[in-house]
Amino acid sequence: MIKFSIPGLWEHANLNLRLLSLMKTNPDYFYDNIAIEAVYGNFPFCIFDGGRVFQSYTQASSEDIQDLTQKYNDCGAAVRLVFTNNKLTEKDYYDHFANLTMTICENDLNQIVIGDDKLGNYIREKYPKFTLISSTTKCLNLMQFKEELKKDQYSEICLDYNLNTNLEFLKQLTQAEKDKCEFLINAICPPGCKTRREHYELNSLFYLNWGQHYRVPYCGIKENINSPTVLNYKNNLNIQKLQDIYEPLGFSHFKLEGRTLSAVDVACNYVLYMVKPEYQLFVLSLLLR
Amino acid sequence: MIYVILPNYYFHYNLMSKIFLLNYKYKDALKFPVTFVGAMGNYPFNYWNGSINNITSSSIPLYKNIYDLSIKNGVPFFIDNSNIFLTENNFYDTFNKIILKANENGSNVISLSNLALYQHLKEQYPNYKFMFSNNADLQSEMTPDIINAIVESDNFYLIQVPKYYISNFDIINQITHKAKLIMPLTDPCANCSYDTWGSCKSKEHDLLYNFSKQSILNSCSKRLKYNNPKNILISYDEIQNNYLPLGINHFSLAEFSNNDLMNFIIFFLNYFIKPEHYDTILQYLTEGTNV
Repeated sequence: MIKFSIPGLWEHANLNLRLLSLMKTNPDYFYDNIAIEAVYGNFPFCIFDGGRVFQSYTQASSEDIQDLTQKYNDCGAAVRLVFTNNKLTEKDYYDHFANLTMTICENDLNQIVIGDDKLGNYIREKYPKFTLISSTTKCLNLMQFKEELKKDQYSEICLDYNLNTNLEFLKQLTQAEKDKCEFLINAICPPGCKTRREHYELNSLFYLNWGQHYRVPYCGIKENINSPTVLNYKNNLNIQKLQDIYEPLGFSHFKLEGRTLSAVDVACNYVLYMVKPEYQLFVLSLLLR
Repeated sequence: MIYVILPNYYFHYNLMSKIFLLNYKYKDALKFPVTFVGAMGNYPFNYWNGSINNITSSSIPLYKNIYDLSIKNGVPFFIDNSNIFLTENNFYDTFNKIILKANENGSNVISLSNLALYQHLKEQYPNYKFMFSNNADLQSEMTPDIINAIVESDNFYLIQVPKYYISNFDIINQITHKAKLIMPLTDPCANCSYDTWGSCKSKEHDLLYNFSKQSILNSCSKRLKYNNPKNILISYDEIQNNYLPLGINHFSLAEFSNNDLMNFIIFFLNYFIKPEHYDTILQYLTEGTNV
């Protein structure tokens, strides 16, 4: 089974809910053996957020959080909160809005992506029902990733995208370890980007400084996520590779990025990964209607 | 001279800045000598706020908005941080950190009702003046002894008097340093007796609402419109005859909701402006607005 986690819990809520309902009503449009296990993102404005920076904000109310969480959960998809701000101090753990979000979302289905083990410990203690996932923003190298696999607190670990194609290493993993692996399969960042970690750190500061932007001088993001250049980056995995190589090897968790992209870009991406070629245009038109 | 603190700093900043400048631009239009010293309020979605969080749009003020407003150098900001439900776990809130950092210029004031919060803020932001809010009364009664202890501690530059004391001169006379007292001029809750206000569930509801970011609740139907005569607790004659002789010269206006804006302007003209200047001042205050 290929299980996707898709972006834009809040930003692409309409699109995601439409996709989830279409998968239920018309499974014949989609590749066999695929599912959406989680929708990741955050309810704005939340200082625990990390990873991506948005241009404008609305404030989610507790009713919004409750409503949207319920809708996703009713479709069988987990709400995966991205709490990957790696500049938080312990004083920030008591942030009112983040705690309000966790209080509302806490159930056995929903998950939290963590970029900092200390925050993970706080959440495990206070909100024990959440499943925790180790974030790709940690940018772990091979050795660090092996260490991370040993940690019991994480049910999944998102690999750094540079490890995606290291099949020699991936084949050696046990099935239990493979079950913990999640691949970011459509990264917009060029392979081997040297400022990736710095970029994540500055994004974290953005939230802690309530929206103050920081420039990342050597950021290599230049192309649209659906451009052939990006789709063919050596770290990115297309659906054929997932079906022919990764799924047979025993891997099942795959993450699509796109929180800051337009709904059109994200929808095109969904269609490429999930919809049978003969239905792609038709489903795209349904999703964007 | 009396000193008046205006309401609704954020949502009606332009109106308040025009009122703030009345002294300079239309001094002759004022009925009596008055100085508007600043405006009380807070940014939307700030749960430290101790009054109604008047959210009209879902946009959240970001770093740039907060700094832009803080450097306008206009109306001094009385930051309402008097939510009685704050605990020490909330003291390091990021949003408030940004707001307090941006506005720490020596002339702005923090209004609060929590002594532990005072200690924390005093250490972190030494350039603020502090005002003790009568919201504290929602938790435990502010007796004259307690008020005197706060007055004498010298930590607070102003102390807001609970509404049920304002015409009780036996009690007011027991308070030392009366120049530090600030009296509410208006009270949208005047329909309720002083006894019930202390345990008012709607007021508590408003503060809890700030805390939980629920959509706005018009929880109390008894709330008076701003131009309702009952809303006015103290007339100018009373100020002149009863309060100024005691050395009390600070007064504050209660906040209003968006749909009460026109009523606030009518009240303002009635209370502060000479009738022959109504037209000019009305035009001045509403120029460039939708009112």
